Amino acid sequence: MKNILAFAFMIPTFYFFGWWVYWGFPTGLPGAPGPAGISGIEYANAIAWGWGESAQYMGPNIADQASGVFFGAFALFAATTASIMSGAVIERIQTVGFIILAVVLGSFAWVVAAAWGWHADGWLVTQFGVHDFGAAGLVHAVAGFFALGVLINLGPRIGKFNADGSANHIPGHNMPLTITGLMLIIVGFFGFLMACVIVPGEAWSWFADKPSTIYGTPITLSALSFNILMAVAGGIIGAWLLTRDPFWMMSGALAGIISTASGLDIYFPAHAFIIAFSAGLILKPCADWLENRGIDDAVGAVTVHGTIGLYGVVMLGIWAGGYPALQGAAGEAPTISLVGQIVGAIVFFLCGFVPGYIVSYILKIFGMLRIPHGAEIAGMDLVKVPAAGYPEWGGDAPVTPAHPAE
Amino acid sequence: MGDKNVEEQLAELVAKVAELEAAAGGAAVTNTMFAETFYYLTIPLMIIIHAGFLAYEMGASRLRTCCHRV
Repeated sequence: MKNILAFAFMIPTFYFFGWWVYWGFPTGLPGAPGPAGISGIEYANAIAWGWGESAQYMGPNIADQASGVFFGAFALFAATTASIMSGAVIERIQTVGFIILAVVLGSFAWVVAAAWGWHADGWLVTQFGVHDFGAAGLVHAVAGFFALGVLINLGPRIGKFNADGSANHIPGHNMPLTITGLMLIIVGFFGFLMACVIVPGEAWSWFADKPSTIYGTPITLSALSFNILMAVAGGIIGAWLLTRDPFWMMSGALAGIISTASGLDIYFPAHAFIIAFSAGLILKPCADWLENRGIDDAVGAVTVHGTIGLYGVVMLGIWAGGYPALQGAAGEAPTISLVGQIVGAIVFFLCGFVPGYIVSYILKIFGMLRIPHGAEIAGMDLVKVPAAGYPEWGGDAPVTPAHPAE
Repeated sequence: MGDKNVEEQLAELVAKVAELEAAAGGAAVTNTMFAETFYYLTIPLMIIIHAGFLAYEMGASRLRTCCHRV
């Protein structure tokens, strides 16, 4: 229910205001136009409202074959952010509270990060040379740390931690389904990263004859293919070496992609493999560290998307310093630097964590965040869902101690 | 072209230019359609991300809550 509803609420809210935020605020408040001439509140008013004059770009129009598909791709990015948060908060969040959080994250928080760090007029790009081709920071880290902000107010599942603070492992009911799901995410990732490429032939294309990144810098689908595949492999092997656990190995595949996403347009495949391998290696220790701080992130979303996302943003600063961050006039194009990527990482962290913490705190005050104790013990299916997943089965697997406490 | 007079040659050139313009126009349409199709196809691919997260979360939930994850 939760995930289906998140998707359903994300699309219209992104249509009604999320898209407008993306075009309105690349230069920050108060929404002044940027040098590329495709940003600012006035521009957003002209193209991104679904009514009045701008509705010609926000509905069927035989003279406009770009806005709809471009909007659609972005709306799906938005839905992805909500899905990322969703896993962390399972088994104890209220449905309506979750939907409110999903809308804030998907139609506002990450959109602000994207306006600043993705848009050609974004201040992080023009002033700091931030480069995040595949949205490791502005989608994954924002969503991951938004989830962390929520988790702090939401609290752990009942039975996750013992009185002495040590953590238990709460097994899910279907490991094969979990692994298959993770593999489907890998499939979808190819669509996500493909949508980060600006192809020729539409109104916003950088060039008429060649593809580019969203920053107008060079890329090919072949480059993506090389680097994504190598990153998946590196992440799996890194996680396998340390955990031998299929759940973490597939999470390692995601971490591999996320750790290289910022520079999939720049890395050489062997390089992408090594970065992804290192991400797979540090994944489980990072998740354990968080768990030992009393955070119950049921699927490791904060670590896989948040921590590894920022790791990837910073890695690009280390390995690709001096590369152009944005297509610009000769001598004027901002270049990638370690300092710039660290600034970007900090801003992406704040874009996620601050609204996640504040909004969930407000929801908590109003009693809209966590389900009642009894409902959590009984299970939310009984209380909230007029359907049974497996009507012939019952009973959970035993809860066992997780990794040793620090 | 030696036997043709200037007017005939001009007419041929005009025809050739028109042909090239039509081809270029066709290429632009193809380009636009390619771009539109390209992004259109990313949408269902990204819905697979959603399907994946769904399966992933359901699997990671205990039996008594797995439907709520859907």
